[in-house]
Amino acid sequence: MLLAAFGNVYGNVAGGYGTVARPPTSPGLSPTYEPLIKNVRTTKEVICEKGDIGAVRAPAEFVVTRHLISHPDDGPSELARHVGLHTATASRVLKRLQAAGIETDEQRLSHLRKLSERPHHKTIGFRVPNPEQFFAALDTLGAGFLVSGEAAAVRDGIDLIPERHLIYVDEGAWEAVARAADETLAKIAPSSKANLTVKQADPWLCEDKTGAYVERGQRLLDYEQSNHVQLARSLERLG
Amino acid sequence: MNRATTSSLQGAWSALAEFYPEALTARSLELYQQVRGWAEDRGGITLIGGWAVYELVEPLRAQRSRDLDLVLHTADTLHAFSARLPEWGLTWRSSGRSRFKDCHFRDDEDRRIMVDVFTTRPFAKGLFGRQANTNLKDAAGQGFIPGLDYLLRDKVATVPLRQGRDAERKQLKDCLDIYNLVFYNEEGRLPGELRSVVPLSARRAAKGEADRLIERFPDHREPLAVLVDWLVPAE
Repeated sequence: MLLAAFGNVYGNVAGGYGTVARPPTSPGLSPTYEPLIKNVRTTKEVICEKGDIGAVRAPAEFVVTRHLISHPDDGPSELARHVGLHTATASRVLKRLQAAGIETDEQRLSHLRKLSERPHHKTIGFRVPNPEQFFAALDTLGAGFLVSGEAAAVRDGIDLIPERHLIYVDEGAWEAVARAADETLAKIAPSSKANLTVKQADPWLCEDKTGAYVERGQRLLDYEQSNHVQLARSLERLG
Repeated sequence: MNRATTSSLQGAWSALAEFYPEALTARSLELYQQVRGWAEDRGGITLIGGWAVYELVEPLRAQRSRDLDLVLHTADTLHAFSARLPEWGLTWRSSGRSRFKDCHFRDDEDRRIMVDVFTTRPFAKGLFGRQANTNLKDAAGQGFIPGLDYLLRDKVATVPLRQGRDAERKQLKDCLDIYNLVFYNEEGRLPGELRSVVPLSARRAAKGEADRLIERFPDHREPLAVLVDWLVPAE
């Protein structure tokens, strides 16, 4: 009986990931284990838990630099309008970047890597049989998402077959994510096993012209986190 | 991608590779295309089994089958089918219980491709008398390519019925087919909705077999575990 209870806590018997439901406490269960069972959260609770953007104030330098990668000619007021900052803040950052001689995409990317003040993205990894079904379910539920990672890399001309997917959703979309996960048998998984990662978009993250992908600056940062993309790029450079 | 160009087996289902050699499935594909051409014109025949799955899943996931499974709706259809057998190189196989159970074709290397013929109860009884309990299926309302719901129900029901030689490998192939129908169907229907079209009793019976297959084929643990979860979700 105890094993059955922990079978639910640590995934199903066949070795799946994540909990499906909080196991009921059994009359025969030792009191020692009851607090452990009560503290177990369901998959839906984990997915819908409120995320923290990791910043009290807007990480303006990061946000502006990221946006400039795809909009290098934007002035302060355009920048401010796109990313949701005050014009004065955008202007200050622009002047700082110009004074530091940060003008090319490579320089901007290098600058982004060094910044410690950056938005945090609530992140959940899933192992899902068919990610395309997950996206279709999100569409059906009316929850928009922006694509990044390996699928975006293909669109950017990097020659690879996507194995791991990365999408960004709004804060209000996690309920839909939980429902889509339930509908498509997606299970929460550690990053080493996940083939789909869902991140909560920070409030300043923009979409690209197509409206389907995150802006280029964030895509480039995400590519650096993908071994697959990095390998594909290395092979292209060798070729 | 042209379905005819997809390879016999893809991905991790290597346990079945020797059971579905490329040359045999290629010949089976030829036979299937010949029979299909005639059957679609004639009507009254429904394709089931592996080749039906091949038609209903995404091209990149479509796997060729070895045998051909057909449901003949009427006695007339059965007689017309019998008349075409020589043209396709098929002969009836004598069976202890029923002479009209199935027919087969032998390829150049003398490997057998089975064409399993199923009939519906009303006319089978008239033809087979007491042997009318074998090879019965109802495909009323289905065209040559069956609907996804019908095929899924049939595939799930078949899993616990496999017996005899190669039963476990056939069950593994059945599970592969169900997996592809649920997660890679061309209609774009989702697993949660598809679960509801298969009766719980059938799903439970299939789950018992699939659980056993996880032990038997540990290399295929993950997709089988996902299938088990689809069949009967943990409460």
